Amino acid sequence: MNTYLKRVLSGGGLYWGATLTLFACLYAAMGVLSYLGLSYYTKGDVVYFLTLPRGDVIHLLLPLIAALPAATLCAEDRSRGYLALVLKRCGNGRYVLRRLSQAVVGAALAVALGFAAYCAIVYSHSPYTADVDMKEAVSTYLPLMTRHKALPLALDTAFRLAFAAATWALICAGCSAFMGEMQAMLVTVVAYYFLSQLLVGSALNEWMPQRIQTPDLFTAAPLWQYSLRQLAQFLLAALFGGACLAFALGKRGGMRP
Amino acid sequence: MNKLIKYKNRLKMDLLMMLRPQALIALVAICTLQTLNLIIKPWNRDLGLGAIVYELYGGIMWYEFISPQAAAFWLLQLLPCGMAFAGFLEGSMDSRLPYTAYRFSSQTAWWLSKVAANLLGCFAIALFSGLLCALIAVLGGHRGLLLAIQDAQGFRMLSMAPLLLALLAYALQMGILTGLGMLVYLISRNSRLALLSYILPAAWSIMRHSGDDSLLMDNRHRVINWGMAKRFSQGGGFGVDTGEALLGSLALILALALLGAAVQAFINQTQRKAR
Repeated sequence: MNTYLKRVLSGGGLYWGATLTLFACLYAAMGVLSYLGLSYYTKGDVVYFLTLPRGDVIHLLLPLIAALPAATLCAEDRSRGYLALVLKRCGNGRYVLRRLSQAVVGAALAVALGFAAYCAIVYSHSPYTADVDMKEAVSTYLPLMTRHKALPLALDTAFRLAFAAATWALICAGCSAFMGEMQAMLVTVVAYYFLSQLLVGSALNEWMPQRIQTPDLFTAAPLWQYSLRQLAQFLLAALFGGACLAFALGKRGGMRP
Repeated sequence: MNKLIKYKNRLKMDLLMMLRPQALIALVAICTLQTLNLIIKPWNRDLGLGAIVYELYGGIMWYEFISPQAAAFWLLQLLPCGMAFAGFLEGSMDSRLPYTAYRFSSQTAWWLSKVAANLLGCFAIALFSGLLCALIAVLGGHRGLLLAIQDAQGFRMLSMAPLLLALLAYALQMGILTGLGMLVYLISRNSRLALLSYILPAAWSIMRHSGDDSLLMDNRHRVINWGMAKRFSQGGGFGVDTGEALLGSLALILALALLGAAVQAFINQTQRKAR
């Protein structure tokens, strides 16, 4: 396997992140599942279930989901002891880019995997597919998904969450250049919660991480503004992560071998 | 006497591992920002000193539907201890283990020493946080440590008891969560798993058990609510029984410590590699 991807996939953080995403999505659905019961699903419920992960517990866990795959990258480099050789071969700039992109890929994959598992569970537990074979299930669902915009909705939710996770993974990668794995994860979580808290009720309210991740789709407000803010946050996080890593590799940096 | 000095020095070393600069910086940063975030709000300008500390370390009120912001507030208050705990695991229970383990008469003695140090660390963090918060509030012009409470007969009185109770419950809550994390680390030797077992039960419980509906789901007996003084029953109203909360927390910390001591019998700590 490609060493670039191997580094992302071999750390357990990716799978922990995916499990947490699945847990957060199922937690949101759990109340409805226990109340209505599976046999009462209607066509609209499939669409409704796909909107559920846009709120609640995913906001609490998102920084953790993002930080889990990213925190190990620099910690492993430090503990393995051959960072000097790596830097000699690829140079500081390429090293920084590599680690940042690995953090982004890890976090995005964790969210994508978790969300895919959640969608699979929602679809497989619906009475529309319970008693029919797979071919019939696909033909039943295809018009439903396209007509009710279930697929675009699911894709939009997954994309925004993955993008937000990637943003916070960059911050975690920057923090992990200076501190241990666990401390870096905690600092990321603290930064996320603080930003969320401080911006509530202020003039910068619309820059809140949660608000940007999950705009209300049913108000028909244009989504590009949210996407633009999310992109700006991502670029700022990339700047922070890159600067931290570059500084840590400098003459007085903590990562300098 | 020599033995006592030895124990004291070991505790001191463990506490130094726990209260490392990173943990102290996190504590100061979180406490300062949380306090400033509270006192700059116009509607909080008339709050007394004690009320501000109580607002910050007394937890959150009962909610029908808890918002992520409210849940994040309490998790944020628990995170300075998480930082200290991470340092404690890395230092005291991992990298220094091969050099210090032989000084103890048995593995159980080593474990009990760590439990005691961890508990002391939690109390120290609660105390520092409370003092720092009070200091910032004093600088902001807030005065008066006493809080107005209602006794069982309905009379209003001024007391410092709710403030001390809030800090005590907060420390015990951190003690339970770190105790669980230490036990998980003892079994798995996986620091990531230990950290998750510190954060996730708290996040899950806050989201799940914050409602005040005593018929559908009685949340008065949930562990997460034992750490929030604002959810304690006052003057016979709905809420967590104070005795149950404090004694229950202590019992749980003790149970986790004993469970760890029992697990020690099956584990050789010094020959295991941390992940």
